[in-house]
Amino acid sequence: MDLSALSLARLLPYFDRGIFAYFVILIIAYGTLVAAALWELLAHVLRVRGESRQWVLGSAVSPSISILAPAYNEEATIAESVTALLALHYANLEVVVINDGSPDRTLDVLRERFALVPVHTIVWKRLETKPVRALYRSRTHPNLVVVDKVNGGKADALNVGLNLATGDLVCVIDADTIVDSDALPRLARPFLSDASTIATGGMIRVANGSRVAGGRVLETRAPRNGIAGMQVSEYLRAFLFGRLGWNHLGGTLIISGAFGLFQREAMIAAGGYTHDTVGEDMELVLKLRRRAYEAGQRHRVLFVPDAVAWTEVPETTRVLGRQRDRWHRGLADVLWRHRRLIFNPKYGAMGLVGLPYFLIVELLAPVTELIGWIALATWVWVGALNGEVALLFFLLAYGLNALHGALAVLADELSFPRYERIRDRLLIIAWSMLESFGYRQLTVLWRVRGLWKYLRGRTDWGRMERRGFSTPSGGATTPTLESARAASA
Amino acid sequence: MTSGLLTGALDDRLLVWGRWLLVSQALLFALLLGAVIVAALARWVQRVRVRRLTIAQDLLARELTGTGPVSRVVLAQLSALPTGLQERLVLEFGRTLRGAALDRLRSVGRHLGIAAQATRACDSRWWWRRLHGVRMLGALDHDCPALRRLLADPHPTVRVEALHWAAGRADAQVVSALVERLVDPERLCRFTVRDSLLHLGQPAASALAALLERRDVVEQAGALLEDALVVARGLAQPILLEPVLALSTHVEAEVRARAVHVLGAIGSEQAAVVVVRALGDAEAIVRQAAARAIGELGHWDGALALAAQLADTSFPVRREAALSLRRLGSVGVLVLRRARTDANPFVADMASQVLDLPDSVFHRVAA
Repeated sequence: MDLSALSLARLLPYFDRGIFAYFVILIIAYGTLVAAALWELLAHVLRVRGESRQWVLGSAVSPSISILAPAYNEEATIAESVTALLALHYANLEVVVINDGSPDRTLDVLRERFALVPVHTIVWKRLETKPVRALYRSRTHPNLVVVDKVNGGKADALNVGLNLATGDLVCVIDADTIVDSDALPRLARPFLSDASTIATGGMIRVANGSRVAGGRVLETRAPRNGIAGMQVSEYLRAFLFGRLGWNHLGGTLIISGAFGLFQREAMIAAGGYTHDTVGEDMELVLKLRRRAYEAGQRHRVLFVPDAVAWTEVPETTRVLGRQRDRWHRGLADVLWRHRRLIFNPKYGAMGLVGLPYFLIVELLAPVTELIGWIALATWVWVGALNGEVALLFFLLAYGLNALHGALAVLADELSFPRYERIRDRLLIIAWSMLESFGYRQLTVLWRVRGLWKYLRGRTDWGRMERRGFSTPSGGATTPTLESARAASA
Repeated sequence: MTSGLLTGALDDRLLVWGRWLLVSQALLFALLLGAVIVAALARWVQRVRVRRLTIAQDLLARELTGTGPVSRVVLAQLSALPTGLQERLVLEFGRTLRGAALDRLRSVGRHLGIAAQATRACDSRWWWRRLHGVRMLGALDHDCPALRRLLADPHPTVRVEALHWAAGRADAQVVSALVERLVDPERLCRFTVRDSLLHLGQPAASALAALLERRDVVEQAGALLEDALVVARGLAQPILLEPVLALSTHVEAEVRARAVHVLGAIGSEQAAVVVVRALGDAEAIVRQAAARAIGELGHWDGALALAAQLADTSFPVRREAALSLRRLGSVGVLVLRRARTDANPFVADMASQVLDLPDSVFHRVAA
């Protein structure tokens, strides 16, 4: 086919140079993040290794923490989850469980297991929420508060929790997150060291394949399931390099909804969680930071690599696809809501570095990658591809991905290692090497689908199905976590 | 026509560069993989060391609970361990021991040369070496001039560790250094100072009272005064009464609130009068502190004033007043029961909620 006659032919060279330039921008962005993260990790390891956290735990002047645990249809696991939260190592701890109008027996289970008694229901309504139906306190656990409310979704449940919480700091977790017993003092440490800290986020690790019992991860293992295995590598890269790197480059923009610690008053002053978005965790951090910038306040939002919480990741492409689609819709929505901040020097590093990064590298990356794949297929079809160069380009990109994955495993190993066996680490590296063959392309498609749905105005959560924390034979098991999270918003 | 990168012939030099990049990537990847394996093997070796550590722990535990001089045989066995393991042992035991056992551990540390090494580390130019030094000496409850110098170390992490160590030293020099550090620019240092002063207890009270009477401190206000008042509340010594009474009329509401809070902990008639007067303060934060203080003082005469606060415009003040009424015992509970049927729904709601609280919850909330 003779292309010289087509105007496309004249554009082609510029087009593929554009793709190449985008590739270079990505490498520079990732490289900067990795370098910043490694520096930050080294400093953090030197600071905390050998440190005793007992004095933070036992001190009369430690800040009090309220854990907010929204629950929707969690009757199978709620008792065990709440027991695990009450057993966390922190002296001045309050646990607020918000039953978001579950139609199942979640509330009955709580009532029976924790000897709940109703107290006259009045709430200091600092944030507007759906009505609270009843308030309970436990005879056996004085630091447990249970609130039953009309269904309103996760954000609304968290706002009710914020109205009720009395702690100086508020820890937000998903009801199915497993928090390491010593994670809270680690997460609280930055609040003690700097008054301008408004939020900290912990490391989310993948629990699939590990031995779990009594709400604790007893032995960490790499998942045998490929989909989950590739996510282990992804999570390691995202948290150890992505989030940690931002500590050094002007503060992170995302605190995972699965495990984050916030200044309560700052959250309330920012208006709490936004209801009509699927990216409520990023939206909250942006609101907090935006408010601080506009008030001219110094503020810090930090990621803490040694404060660990565990989550169960999807093991099927169907569920994973829905999750990634929702994450990308959330990102697009949040960036659109705060579009005035992007490239705005008034918002400092967040406006000039953080948000442009999320727009160009995170939001548009799948679109560019998809265009690249389509272009590649077109060139092959029309016979215009230089095979040798294309292969070289692919191998370079693949090599960088593999290096990124191996470096993440090494950084993990040298800082706060969790895996006991060599084969687990090698398995994770192997999964990360296989990512480029199918998994990566699928995530590109899901993310583009998310963006497309966002443009068409879809704002639902999609249904998250969990298989439960599986345990290899011989180990103890926990009941299946059926947590279909607040889809009903 | 201009040639593209993937669709045209690429410059040979660029191709060579690309190939070199690819080879370097492969080498780097192999290196990283090797490093992961080496690190994992090192941890496997460490596990073998942990077994040795467990044996050494048993040995040392037996020795620390014994009497008489430390056994030479045990010392010889401990000396045979790598330095890292020896230090780990000292850190693990040092954090939990007190009294004679700690004296014996200190003696073991001296014999093994750990104390001397840590003292040298305190003078290192590298902050992490100094940090290691202060941690080791802290675990051994050792005292030396080099360690005292670290109370003013330029690196905050080192300073924090030294200030933490100071909680066990009640001498005038350390107490005065701690009180001075209440103005430390690092928040974690200030937190540690507060914690250490509370641990020191009564010996810290006079130095703190002197600080609270200093004109420059009173005028400076802000974080320093607030931190000092947090410590004063924990210490609750009569010597602090006069300076705190003076601060109860401070221009800053936060300072007034904390001062009233301290008065609730110290007690005395004078304090009770000031606290009841503070219920009429313009700032809710002060009224809230006053309501709490009356409950803590057990000041029955304040019950009616508290009952009036059940209709306060601020939710936290209403709540604190209701909790304090219940804290007052039968008199307060009677007032709350009457308030349950009050025409004002805000009064009735708050009284009902506080009366509904199970005892265990009430004691926790009121603590």
